[in-house]
Amino acid sequence: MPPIGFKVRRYEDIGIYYDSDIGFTVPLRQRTYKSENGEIQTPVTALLLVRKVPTDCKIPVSRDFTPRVAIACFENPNNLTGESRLKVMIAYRPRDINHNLQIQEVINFPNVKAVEYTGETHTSSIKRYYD
Amino acid sequence: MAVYSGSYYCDGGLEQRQVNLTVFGVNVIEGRETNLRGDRFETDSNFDALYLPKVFMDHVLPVRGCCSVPINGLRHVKAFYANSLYLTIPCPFAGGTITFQQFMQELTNNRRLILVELHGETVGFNLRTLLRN
Repeated sequence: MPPIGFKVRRYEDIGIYYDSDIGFTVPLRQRTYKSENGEIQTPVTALLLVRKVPTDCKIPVSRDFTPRVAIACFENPNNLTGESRLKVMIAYRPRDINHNLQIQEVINFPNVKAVEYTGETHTSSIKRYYD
Repeated sequence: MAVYSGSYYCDGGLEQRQVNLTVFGVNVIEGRETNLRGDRFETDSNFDALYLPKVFMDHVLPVRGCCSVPINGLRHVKAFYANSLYLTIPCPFAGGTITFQQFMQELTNNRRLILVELHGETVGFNLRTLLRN
């Protein structure tokens, strides 16, 4: 029995092939949160699932950069803020036609009220990619 | 603070013309990793010439633009030239493009710079209006 005040969140991690702004492609973990009845809440859409790693092999947790993400906002009266914010990575780099299409899919995902976007960020030096 | 103006290309594909692309220095006082806090300081054109990529200088005009990009935060790099001193340089080129790669290549080839960080753009309520296919 978890202590009062803690919440249990069901989730599943899937591997996604991600195209970096820098030019490489790498498998990354995407956490998908689920409701109590097992329904997936994170806006995992068709264009993201196209990039799913086809095996059950473990994707390393550690990574040295933050992928570009869309942050979908849902109404959730159970949270103090009244909302849930779930991140989904945008697997396609800008100028790939699927980049915008995947964002549109997230915007149109059921019950999504608003979507924010954050581009790819490297706080470790990017020099190693250009040596 | 050196003010330049030029086109900014959003990740979603929209081109924003003649917007401010301001370069400034920061003297870090405290903080770790992403939570750096410090004092901004102005740079001049002679100083900028040592650090800014040629592809950036060819892209901009040394005048103030008529407006700012209507997004929360521009894509930019933090280019450290000392342990607690860095330049914030807007990157007007979208990821994966040839000019983006040239911009990054020139920065990473600059021996005066010891660390180059890339920070992605942040977009809020108007994300839908910035998507162009």
